[in-house]
This record gives sequence, C-alpha cells and structure tokens, in this order.
Amino acid sequence: MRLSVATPKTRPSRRDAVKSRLRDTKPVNLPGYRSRVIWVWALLCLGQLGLVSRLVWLQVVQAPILQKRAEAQRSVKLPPKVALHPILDRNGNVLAKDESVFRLFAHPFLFKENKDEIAQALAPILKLPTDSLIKLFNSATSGVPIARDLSDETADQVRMLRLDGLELNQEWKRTYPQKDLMSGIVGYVDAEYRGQSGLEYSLQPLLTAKPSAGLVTEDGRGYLLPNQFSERPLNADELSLRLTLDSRLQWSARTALSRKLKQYGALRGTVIVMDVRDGSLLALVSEPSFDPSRFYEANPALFRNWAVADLYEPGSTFKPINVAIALDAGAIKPDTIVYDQGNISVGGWPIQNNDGSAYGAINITKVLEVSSNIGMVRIMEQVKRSTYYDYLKKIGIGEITGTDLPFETAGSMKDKQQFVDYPIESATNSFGQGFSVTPLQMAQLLGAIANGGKIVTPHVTQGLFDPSGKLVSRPNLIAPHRVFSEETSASVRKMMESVVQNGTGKPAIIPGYRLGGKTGTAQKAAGGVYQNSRITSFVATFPSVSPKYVVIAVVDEPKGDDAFGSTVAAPIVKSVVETLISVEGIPPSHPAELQKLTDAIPPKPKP
Amino acid sequence: MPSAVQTRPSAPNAPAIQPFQPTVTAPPRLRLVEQERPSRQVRIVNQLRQISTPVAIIMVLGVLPIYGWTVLTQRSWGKGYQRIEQLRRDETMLIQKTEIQKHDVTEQAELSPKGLVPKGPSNTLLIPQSQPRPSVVQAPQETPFNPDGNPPLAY
Repeated sequence: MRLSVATPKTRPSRRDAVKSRLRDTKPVNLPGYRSRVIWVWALLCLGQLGLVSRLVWLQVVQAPILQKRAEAQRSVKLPPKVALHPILDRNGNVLAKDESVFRLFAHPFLFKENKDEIAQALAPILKLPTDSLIKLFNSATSGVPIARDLSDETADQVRMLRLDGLELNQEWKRTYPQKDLMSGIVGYVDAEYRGQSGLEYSLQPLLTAKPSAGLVTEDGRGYLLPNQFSERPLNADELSLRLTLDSRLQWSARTALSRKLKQYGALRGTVIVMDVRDGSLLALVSEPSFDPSRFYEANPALFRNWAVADLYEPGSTFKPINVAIALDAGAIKPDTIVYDQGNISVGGWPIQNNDGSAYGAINITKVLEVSSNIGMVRIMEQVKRSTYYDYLKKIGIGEITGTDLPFETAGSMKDKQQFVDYPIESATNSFGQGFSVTPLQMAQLLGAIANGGKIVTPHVTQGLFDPSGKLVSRPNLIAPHRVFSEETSASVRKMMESVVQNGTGKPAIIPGYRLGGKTGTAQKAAGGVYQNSRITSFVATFPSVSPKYVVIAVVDEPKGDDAFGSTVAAPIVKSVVETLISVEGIPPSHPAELQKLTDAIPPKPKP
Repeated sequence: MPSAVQTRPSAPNAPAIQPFQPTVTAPPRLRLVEQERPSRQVRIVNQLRQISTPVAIIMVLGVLPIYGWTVLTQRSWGKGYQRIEQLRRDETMLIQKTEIQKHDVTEQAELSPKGLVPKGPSNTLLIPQSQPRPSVVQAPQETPFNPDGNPPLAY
C-alpha cells in the first residue's frame, strides 16, 4: 500500500516559510516578563512626557524670551550714513558734507598679544612709529586715545587685525569744500558737532539726520539680509539741504568786493544779490570771512554775518524808498518840482547837500540823480509826519525781515511821538539818516520797488530735498505783502534808471543793458555823534524794465577822499551784474550799444 | 471540502484485520483558505505606504536646491549691499575731492589768470531763443483706387 500525500500545486516560497515559522513561534514568557514590559513602557512614556513637557516649556512658555534673544543676536541697527544732511548750492555744488571718520582707543589690559607685536602690527596702518605706540600703550591700562580722523579704509585694516583691546569709534567730520566762500551763510559745527553759526546753527533741527528706524538681520558672516529692509529705495532717507545761492555769483561778488576793500583799506564789506520775485538770495558775501574747518583760529566777531546782524544808516540809498512813500501817500507826483537852495535849517539844525551845491528848482528824478538832501527834505515835508512814520513802520523799519539766517537784528528808529514832534527827525530820515537797518533789510526794501510793491522775505534755503529731487520740507517764511502800488514802484524804477544813466550812478553803466541804481555815502555815528568815517553803498535793480534782481554793495569805512558810493560800491555792483548777465543768460535790452562797441574795436592786424 | 489524502477503496472480501491506516492530518499551512479581499481603504493605505518613501526622497531632493537658492540669494544680496555701500563711500569721497579741486582751481585762476578771463557780457555770445516751429500736421493722403495700376505680385 502506498501512501500518497497530495502536494500543493506551488511550493511555498522560502520567504513564506520564514514568515509562517515566525507566526507560529510563540514568545517564551519568562517569569517577570509582564512587569518588565510595563516598566519599560512606563519609562518610555515618562521620557516622552518629559520631552513633550520640555517642548511646551520652550515653545510656549519661554518662546517670547527666546525669540527676543535670538532676534537680538542676529539683528543689527544700520549705521547712520550721515549725522547732518549735506548742504548744496542751487546748482548742486557741495557746501558742507559729513565725512565718516574713526577714533581708535586702546585698552591694554585686554591685550592678548604682546604690546610690541600689537604696536608693530598697527604702526604701518596708522603711519606712526612703533616706539610712540608702545609708549601710549604703557601710559594707561584702559581708554588710551591712539589716533583720530581715521578713514574707513584705515579702520577696516585695523579691524582685520582682529586684535583684542582695540576699540574703533565712529565719528563725523564736517567738511566745507568752499572754505571761506560760504562761511558767512553756512556757518560751522564745533568739536561736539553742534552748529554754532550760520545755517548750521539756525537750521540744526532740520539738518540733523534721523537715525535709521528699524533693525535689520545679518548672517553669521556679517552680511546683511534683505528680509527686514523696507521696500523704499535704500537711499530714500538721504536728504540734502539745497540753498538758493549760486557759487559762481558768490565767487564773483567776493572777488569784486575784496578788490575794493583792499584798494580803499576798508574795514569790511558786503554784497547781496536777491531775486525780487520771491526773496531768494543768489549771493550774500560778507568780508572778511573765516574758514569754517579752522573756526578756532577765526575772530569770533566774524561768526555773526554782519549783513544780517549789524545795523547801519543807509544814507542816500534810502531816498528811492522815501520817494515811493511820498508818491504812494499822494503827497507828490512824479513830475513835482521842489526847490533846492543848497542849505536849510530845520528846527535849528543846519542841513546841506553832500557837495554843498544848490540845484534850484528840480524835479523828483533830478533830486535822485544828484542825490539832493535838500530836495528830499522838501519832498518829505509834503507828507504828514505821522503818515510818514506809519509808512516807515509799514515797510518794516525797526523790525526784522524774518530771514532764515541766524542772529538777525531788528532795525532801530525813533518813537512816533519824537518823530512827529521834532521836524529834524523826519528831515534826517528823508535822506536816510537817523534810523538804521541791516544791509539785508535794505535789499528787501529795494526789492519792493523792483517787484512792483511787495515786501518779500529774503532767504537762502530752498528746502530739504530727497535724492529724486522731491521737496521734503521747507522753512516757513513770512508771506509777501504789498506796501507800494504798482504805479508807485514803476515810477521810482524809472527814476532809478535815470540815476545810473545821467546821475551819480554812472560808474555802474553796462553797455547794452539798463539798470536802476542809487548811490549812498553816509557818515557813521558813534555814541550819538557823527564821525568822519563813512559807510558807502550802492543799490541796483536789474534789468531796469521788469527787474528780477536787486544788488546791493555796502563798504564800511573806506579810506581816502574819493571814497564814495559811486567810486567804491558802484563798480562792485557793476561787476556782479556782469557776472549775473552771463550766469543767467540775460540778453541785452539795447543790443545796438554792444554793436557800436564791437565796431569801435580795431581789427587785429593780420600776421 | 475534499480531503487532501486519499486511500484505495477496500475489496468486498477483505480480511478482518484491517491494515494500518495512518491518519494523516493535513498541516494548516497547506490548507487552502479563501482569504477575504482587503478593503479599499487598506489598499489605498498600502499603496501610499509603497510610494511614500520615493515621494519623500524626491521632495527632499527637490526642496534642498530651493532652500540653497534662498540662502544663496540672501547672501548675494548682502554682498551686493556691502558693495553698494562701499561705492557710495567712494562716491562721497570723490565728490568732496572734486569740490575741493574746483575751489582750488578757481582760486588759482584768480591769483594767476594765465589767460583766463572772468565771464561777462563782453565775452558772452547770447543767441536769441528761436520761436517754436508750428507743428506740421500731415494731411492723410488718399490712395487712388487703380485696379490696373498695381497688380498683385503674389497671392
């Protein structure tokens, strides 16, 4: 008999066999097996619980603190690019700019290397002898000043040495590339970086750069990461203060003024060029001046721009203003005739013309042409004294102009009662004496004649601009206001043109062009008594028809018998106006005169 | 269910003594059991299990370059920023040097002109501004229809 076992069609694979054996194998439960399993399970659970608890502690409870700590570790504040915004002229020429410099301190108690080694490493970078560095290191244990005004490159080289005990502090240095050309306006900053004169002083809040607002992230190698940067352009906060001044004109004015100051041995002088449409100053020169980067060597009196801070009696240059008052008050007409007998007595005080002449019956234009004091007294006699006083107050005599330059002084004049009661007061005022103004206020008053009767505020600041040229902020100025009518100012302008063409202002004639002008030579008063010293001046409106500019030159105490407004100040104004013509590209109003000049020049002989 | 072991059928005159018939029990592993078909969810999970590993590897391999790219971009931005800052510093320095040179050159020209003359009306040529030309508007030109003049050259 044969037994046969039916075999499946397919034999189970080896893998299945292993699986099956494993399945059939029953674990051998040794004694204590169950309890050990429970212990292990409990241990694992406990461990897991511990991990979860720690996770919750770090992620929930401690999270804000840790987050702050992590951010503090990788967050840095962007270093400021400037401490004070740069100052530019109207053409973008730099007048003042910050330069980043570093000061190096040593703390020898933190040195990890030998002092000699450190000195040898530093010496070639700082260009200092090793011995002197070692001497400095030995002088104290901490806070030893080693060098200042180090450039960025030098500071980087020191940093790359990676030496302990050296400290680099960033500082700012204000540079003035124009040196003494603009110091009267721009001013200077002292060692503590505080403005002490000029715009640096008066506009310090506007000039001070705001620190960068937020923090940015940096990686381990010190590279900044973009994730926290604002979406604004990176240089959007780099503002600059733009002025109305023109460096070329300023230079020309200073050259012309310096020449005359030297020629006549004068004490000081000023030249002002103002755009009469808005009061913006194109040039404001005060000589002598100082180098703002070496302010400590300068005479402190120069820190106050005398064109703004000091008063003077304007003399005959004020006569056109008086004529405008009389015309505007309706006391005279442009063709009124007055009688000039050469000398008169007012309230017991003798008054005479400058040259002692008597011009007889003359019209208003002639009064200005010859600068007749008697004629002016006669004109202002037509105006009621209280009205005359009110007009003087209305045009701002005794007040400040409200300019953006610092240390402005208000003019002075007598009180109304004295002015009305004593005829000598109005008589002396009629030819520009007995009261005082600053040269800047004189420019402002002439501006009202030139622009059709409006008082504008003289200023040098256009405002703060961003890199795209957009105005960010501008200083508040007193709004223009009318003091004379259009007709009055037009009549006076015509008379002033005649002064240059036919009168005392002839030295200012420029062929092909017409300008209005008025000379002034006034005695200086000291302690209430007039001295022999004088102050000469010349004011001009240019062009004569629809003037755009007022130019004023004042020279204090020129020496010599020929020192008058016409000889000292008028040539300065002429020179400045000539530059103004070329800078502004003003075409001649009388080109035929230029043609005549060209024809008169003999042709160069051919070689 | 048919038995897995079959014996030959006995003859009609079979002796009393029965031959030994060993009982053979089939091992359970050889028993063919009709297994239940796994549910749809189980099959999906099973499939997911099978593809999850390659998917995870692919995703990690895919994410790594992206992560690397973001890190690289940020670092190159940082480097670029540092470069632009350096350029700005150079620009500032150049501006200052240029301004100082401009001042020095002007000062020098004033002290010793060497043929240089100040700008003024006598040496300035002013060209009057020309009137702006009236803009010429071209009248639209009508093309006369000429069927025979310009025969088409191609289709």
